[in-house]
Amino acid sequence: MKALRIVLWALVALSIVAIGFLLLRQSQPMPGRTVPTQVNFGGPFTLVGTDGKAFGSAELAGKPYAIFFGFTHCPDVCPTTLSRMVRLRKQLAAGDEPFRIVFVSVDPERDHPKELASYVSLFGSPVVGLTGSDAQVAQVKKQFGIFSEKVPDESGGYTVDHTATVLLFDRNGKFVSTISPEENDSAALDKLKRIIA
Amino acid sequence: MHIAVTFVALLLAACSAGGSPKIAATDGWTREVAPGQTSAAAYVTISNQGDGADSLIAAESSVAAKATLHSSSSAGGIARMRPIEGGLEIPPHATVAFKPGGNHIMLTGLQQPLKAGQAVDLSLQFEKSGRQAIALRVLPATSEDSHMHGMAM
Repeated sequence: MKALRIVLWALVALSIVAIGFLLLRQSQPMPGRTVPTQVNFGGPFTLVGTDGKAFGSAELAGKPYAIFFGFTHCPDVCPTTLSRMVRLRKQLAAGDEPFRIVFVSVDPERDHPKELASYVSLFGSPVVGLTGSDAQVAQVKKQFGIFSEKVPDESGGYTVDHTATVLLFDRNGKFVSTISPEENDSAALDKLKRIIA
Repeated sequence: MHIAVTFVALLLAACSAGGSPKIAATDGWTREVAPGQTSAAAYVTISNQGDGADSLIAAESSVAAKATLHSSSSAGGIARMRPIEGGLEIPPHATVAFKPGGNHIMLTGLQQPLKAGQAVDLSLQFEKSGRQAIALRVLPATSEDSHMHGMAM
């Protein structure tokens, strides 16, 4: 009886591995398919654009993108990261917008479309600014593996701790790699070249 | 051995107590902000040519309700910004540079929008050297340091 149970459990384990393997194969991008597919990070989402209208992930399809999560009241890390991405994009010298830079607010409470619009316009190069309801932002954070947490500051307001990493996706919406603030420019440029290739 | 260590420690303490700091603040800059943005980070380079340590303990600017010493880090992949408690030591014969992604002076409650090309005031309060005034250049938001990368001058 005990032996039978062991055999059955082994079969269960084997089936799980087999299903996992099949799912993994299925999620490889298929030719002609441009809708983002959920591999590690990403997947379909809906947020709100700087024009106040719904922004679906399908609008990102067909072009690689670099996505960064932050907030407009972040005076140091966020402008530094966005400036760097804008500069690296220019350094690639591969046309005006070889990949999109997407900035998603993790502070939808303060970042309404209007605030976000004037913030992203500061960078003198196209940056897609996205915000949304608390629930929408929470869902997208989950899909992209993003951490964020409000922290009270010394003047009665708050700051937000958040993932500092930029995530890179190819034109099929497939997650490719990341760029961290500590990484040097040449390593970052190599990764960007890969997503635009 | 114990006595020798104590002696060296006393000697070091005597040395540092004897010298006085000589503080200079240079290269102050901040970034342009969008309308409605109420905070900005300011950066400055502080050198101490003297023989004694000093501490930057406070800052203020007429353009902000408050100026606080802050530090950013992205340890473990998480961007965090925290106040620097108890001031920032400027050791003798050292230069401490405030830089994006590291130490900065957080200007909160901006009284006016900061526009590229402007200069705004900043006053730094040192424990021993007292107040030092410095002008902050307002640089475009795309600036990553005070050298205005890619700017057509």
